[in-house]
Amino acid sequence: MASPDLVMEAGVSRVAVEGLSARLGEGEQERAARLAALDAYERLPLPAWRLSRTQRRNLTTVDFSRIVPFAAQTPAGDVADTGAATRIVNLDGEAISLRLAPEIAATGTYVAPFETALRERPELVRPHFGRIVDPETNRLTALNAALHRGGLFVHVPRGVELREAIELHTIVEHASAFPRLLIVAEEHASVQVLERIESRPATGEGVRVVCSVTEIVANAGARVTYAALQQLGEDVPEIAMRRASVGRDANVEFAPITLGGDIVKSVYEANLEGEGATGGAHGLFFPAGREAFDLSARITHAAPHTTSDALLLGAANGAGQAAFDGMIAILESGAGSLSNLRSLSLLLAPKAHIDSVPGMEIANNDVKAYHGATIGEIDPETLFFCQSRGIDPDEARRMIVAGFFSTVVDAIPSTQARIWVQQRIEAKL
Amino acid sequence: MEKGLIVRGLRVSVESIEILKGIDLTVEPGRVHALMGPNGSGKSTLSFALTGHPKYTVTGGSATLDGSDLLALRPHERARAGLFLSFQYPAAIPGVSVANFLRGARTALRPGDVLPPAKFKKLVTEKMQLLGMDSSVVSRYVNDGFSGGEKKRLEMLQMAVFQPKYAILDETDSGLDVDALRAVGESVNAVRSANSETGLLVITHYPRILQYLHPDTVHVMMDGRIVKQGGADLAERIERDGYDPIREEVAGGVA
Ligand SMILES: Nc1ncnc2c1ncn2[C@@H]1O[C@H](COP(=O)(O)OP(=O)(O)O)[C@@H](O)[C@H]1O
Ligand SMILES: [Mg+2]
Repeated sequence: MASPDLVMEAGVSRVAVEGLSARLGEGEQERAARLAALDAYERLPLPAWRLSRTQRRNLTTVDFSRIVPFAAQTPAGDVADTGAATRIVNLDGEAISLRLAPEIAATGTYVAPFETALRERPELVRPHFGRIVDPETNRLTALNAALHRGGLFVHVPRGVELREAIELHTIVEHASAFPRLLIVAEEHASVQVLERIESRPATGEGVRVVCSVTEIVANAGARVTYAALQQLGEDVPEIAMRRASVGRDANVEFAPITLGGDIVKSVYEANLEGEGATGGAHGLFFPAGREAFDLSARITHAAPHTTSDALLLGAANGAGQAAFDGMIAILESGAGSLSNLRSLSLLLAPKAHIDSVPGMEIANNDVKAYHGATIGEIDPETLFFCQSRGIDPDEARRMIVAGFFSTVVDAIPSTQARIWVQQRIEAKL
Repeated sequence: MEKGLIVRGLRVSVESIEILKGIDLTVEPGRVHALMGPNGSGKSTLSFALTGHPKYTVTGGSATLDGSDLLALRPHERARAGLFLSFQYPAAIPGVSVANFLRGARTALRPGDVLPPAKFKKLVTEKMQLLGMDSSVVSRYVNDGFSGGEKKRLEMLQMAVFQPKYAILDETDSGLDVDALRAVGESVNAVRSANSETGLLVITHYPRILQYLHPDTVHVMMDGRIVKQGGADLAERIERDGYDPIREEVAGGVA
């Protein structure tokens, strides 16, 4: 919605931040927090970019002085319905569709766009907002804190177990997106959140970026599954920081699905802070064309008897490149912990490149930790086997790649989203 | 058009080493030919050259299937022309279920005869029962974590579901226990009775599978050549005396 409060100028500025805060009707506390974050944005360094072979494009080649922070147009509300019972659709920062299943409301669960939640239920949001991911972590977490808009807040009361996934669908058309997500599961609560991020073709000048931050709080015995599916156009960079704090006997599962963008810098972290906490990441990534992804997953075992399991499946086609940095850290306080980290990579073209560097930092001897990484190409014997059954080579490659990704794809908590992912994988071949 | 799987003077190299040095062999529709020979004599090389494996280079000769030039076709086109290979060591396809694979392959092989899902399921179930396979196999990934015997049964299931015109069975019998061998033999015979035109080339070390498949002709391959042909009694002779007498005979003939 074009609003007199929003000044349509490119770049990240005080005018933009103040205009946004006023437009959202925020109080002095929120406005001050945004301005402090803007100050941090100007002062802090960019996060590291580890893809050495990507000279052409990296984080420093994103021209933040030209980013389009807001859309001038009123978003057009034609978005395919995913059928999810609870869903928020955000187009250029506006929640154009908001549906809350009556069953969810009946449980006392609170679901709202992030800024709405901050206004309506500050007592639920404020204790955690910025606590799991400090806005001053780096230049881009600060950028999100200065310009956050859209996004999602979910609060699941004690003991409430939600079966159906809550969906947030973020679509970038005329402007950048700065979604902020905060998921709080109280003791023994259970929730699945499915985030989907897409872009439409550019309509004007200027740079569109997606810069998001997700914070997850899983209190004792709670279970949170967070699937983040993205595919952006080759002109839209994405920078995402997602971190979970996992309490006693709680479980947090990440499903990072990274399928496209100009450059993607994406960080997933789970801090296993309570005894018996478990954390997992089961994800996939697939750069093609000239796409370059810098992905990391870090699980920190800070309490005794914590368990983690991570499996990342990566393929690269064309001149696509990815660095995957998986790290398991077991602190001295993590006695009796178990961890397993695997990455499997598939190169589909001579210029495709994947760097997978699983690592471990272990400060306690009483633990079991395993990590492994394999990289390879499509097995020519498998390809020939398929061909000998009448399947043409292109179809055989599609079948083999779909099979390669299937363990992760089959676990996505929505049939519609699974098909969405399968189709995008096929289109990249 | 000459019916049959007809191989004439076929020469095949692997990594520029000549393995097959001129093979002549004709499998007529409905006939069973056995191809025997010691390890390393080139039997699998023949099966790969005929199905078009990229590692095997044909340097001379011809191969036709019911008149069409096999060597001019790509591997999937050879399969669509009606040629099937039961691999000695079938490859695994992790993440692709047997059910999906069978369906995808059958659709590719017989686009004019796509069965509705229920009929297809019935066909697969029937063939699996004949092969003594557990019904849970359909949801497992193709050959992924399969035992040797399970792989061979799955090869035979594919043959039964695809109904090829000509099938090469490359040591499908090796590594099978007696029961599995009988099941495989019965399954192959069921394919043949459903389609009396199916021609078979049965590559084997051991004559025991031939108890079920009754070859019309037995060929013996040594060092990339067919050195001897005969009836079923030739297989029995090999069973009794091994390959040495034949080897001596051949050497004597040359000397
Ligand atoms: N893919 C290959 N790469 C290298 N050598 C091969 C390959 N396939 C076959 N050969 C060689 O060709 C010869 C015949 O092998 P093969 O056809 O497998 O024999 P058989 O099936 O009769 O045991 C052997 O000397 C083998 O080493
Ligand atoms: Mg062999």
